[in-house]
Amino acid sequence: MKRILILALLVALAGCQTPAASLKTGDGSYRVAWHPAGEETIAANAYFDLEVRVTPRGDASPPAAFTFDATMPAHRHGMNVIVSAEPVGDATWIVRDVLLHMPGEWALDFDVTDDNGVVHRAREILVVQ
Amino acid sequence: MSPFARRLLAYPAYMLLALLLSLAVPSAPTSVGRWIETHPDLGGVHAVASHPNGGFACIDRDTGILRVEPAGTTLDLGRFLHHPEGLAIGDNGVFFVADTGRHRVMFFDVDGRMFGGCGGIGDEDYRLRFPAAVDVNEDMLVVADTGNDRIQVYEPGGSHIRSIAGPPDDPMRGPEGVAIDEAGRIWVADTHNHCVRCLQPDGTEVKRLGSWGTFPGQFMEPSGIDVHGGLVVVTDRLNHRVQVLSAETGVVQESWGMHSFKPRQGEGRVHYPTDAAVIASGDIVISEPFEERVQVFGPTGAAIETPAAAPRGVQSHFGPIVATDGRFLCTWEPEIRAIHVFDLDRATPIRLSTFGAPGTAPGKLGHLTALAVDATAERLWAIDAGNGRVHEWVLTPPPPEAPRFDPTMATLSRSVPLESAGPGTLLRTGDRLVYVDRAAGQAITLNEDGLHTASDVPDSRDPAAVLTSGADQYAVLDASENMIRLYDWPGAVSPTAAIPLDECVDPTDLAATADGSLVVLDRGGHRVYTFRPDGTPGPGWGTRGIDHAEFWRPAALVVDHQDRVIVLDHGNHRAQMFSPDGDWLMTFGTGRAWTRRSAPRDLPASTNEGEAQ
Repeated sequence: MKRILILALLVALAGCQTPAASLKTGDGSYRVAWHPAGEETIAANAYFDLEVRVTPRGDASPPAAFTFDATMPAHRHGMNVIVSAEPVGDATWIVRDVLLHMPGEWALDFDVTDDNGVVHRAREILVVQ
Repeated sequence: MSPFARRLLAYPAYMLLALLLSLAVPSAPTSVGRWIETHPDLGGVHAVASHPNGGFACIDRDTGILRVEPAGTTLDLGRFLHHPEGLAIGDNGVFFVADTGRHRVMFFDVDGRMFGGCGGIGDEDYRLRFPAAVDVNEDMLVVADTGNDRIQVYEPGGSHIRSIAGPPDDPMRGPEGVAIDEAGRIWVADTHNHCVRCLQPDGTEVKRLGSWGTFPGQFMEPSGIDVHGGLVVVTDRLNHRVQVLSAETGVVQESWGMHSFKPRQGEGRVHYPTDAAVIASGDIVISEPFEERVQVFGPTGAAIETPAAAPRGVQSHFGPIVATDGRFLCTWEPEIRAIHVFDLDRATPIRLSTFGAPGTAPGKLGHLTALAVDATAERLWAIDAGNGRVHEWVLTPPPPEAPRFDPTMATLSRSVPLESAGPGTLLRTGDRLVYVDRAAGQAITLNEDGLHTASDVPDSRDPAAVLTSGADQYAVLDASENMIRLYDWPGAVSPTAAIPLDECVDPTDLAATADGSLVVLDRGGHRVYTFRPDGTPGPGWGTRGIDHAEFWRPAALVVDHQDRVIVLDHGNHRAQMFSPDGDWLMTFGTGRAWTRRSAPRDLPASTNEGEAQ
């Protein structure tokens, strides 16, 4: 029974991920906290929503805009859907209907634009099964 | 009668029916994509224009020599012009030349006497910045004001009428081609939006054709355009082809051209075409400065042979910019809008990463004009003239003892708006990042907060390359006067020394070796020159060719941390590495390298050709 449980756990881990993370943008100006909204997992070829919260660090100005994109750098392509980030207040955005259509290594790019038009990026590398 | 006999008797009836049908159906239009002739050895021939004599004229960007065919006459306009890239001819034979390097348009009579002009550097309504094309009719003179991302409309005498930049939310980006059709509409090759726009003379947009891509009707950097008889002819530079579209419907009528498989291949192969002209006979003339030639196509030409398979080699589509620091060498591949990062610690370069994608969204790449890298800080920067930005990436390289390819090695850290992004040099001096704007002759310090401070580069009309030499001196390569000037850093306004480059045809880039010698790259002369720290000439090397240690319009150079001179041999799609004395060390691309051990045995032991003059 114990073996079956361990096997089931391994299968579950191999088949999906339950990520949530808090990242800094590359220049350290913003913290980006994200997690799948309403879903427990991110699996290949399954739609999901992302909830993203952006917090300025130090003397950074509040975010003026936020965009999200996902690519597969090794394959030099992105998603086959176009997503947009919907602001829901309190420096939080919902990105709806994200689709990582292939298994493999995906780069999730969270781009925060400040009031000078400077884009600050936080990147998460995610292996999707 | 047997069935076979009945079928046999019916056969002539079928034949007669087929014959009648063939007469009734109009024949397919005759192809214009057939090769007629090549005019070779024309230098950096950047522009072509239909001539009233029924032929065409073209102009050499390197020397300013204007050639008229089929007469075979030439006019040497070099003393008036600096890097001319555009040409139009009035019905009376008057020449209108886009004097790109001096940011103006100059007018010449049929004998080459200058009698007028318009423009001058700036972004005011009537001024120009790197104008790359021009067209004229009896009512107006239209100029592609490439560096200001707009079209300028003047009267044929040079009085300014209006500027057209496109809608504020969808402006033009670096347009390099203009043409006026018979109805007086203006057609624009909107190069870095990868589309063609048709405008009314008042600027109202009538239609737009194409987007980034390789399918018929799509473009990758449309560069030249002409319109005649309801057809729009576009040179599709990075797709190495010519597309002919219906002016009315926008539908592709014909498309030809293919990247050459063998070096210098012609007779229908098209390589980075820059301009097109439809001449009186209906034939189409194409300029290819990369190949130093003009090709003529038309219905009377020969069918273009379809190639079988591409040969192996070390070719890579290195663009014309490069940067190095420590173990890193960074190059740019415009065709895929990607940056390559190499590790230079080993005997041959090892590619560590290739990253980037075309577009205007955050992190996407437009048209890069300069790179800088800092190995200690593990940061990489690029000037993106297409998107008007400076991008900064964080590099997370593999350990030097175990280099490996990693497509995620570079992560965009931030992307800062930079309105003046264009041709120039990007310098990392200490912890400062400085962009030298070639058009404005200004050094712009890019601050951490995204704001910029500017100061003038003294005495320089065209700072093609700038180099810091140690902490207290910098060198400016002034391509306008073929001169290197040395200054104390910072704040000096008078040079401490000047080195004339009398032998150079088109000095393009500058670097310094470990002993302080300066290395100059001459694109038009296909050659490298060196100058010792006291300014005296050192070894020089290179001739025009395709073998190792030869160059074809080399575009950029750097000296790496092992004191090796690396030349981007742009026209041969490869890089070459030399000792500071000019001994050939290797030829490499993104995937392969030839070294002394693997190169042909007849390579000379020493490739430099003695002292530069």
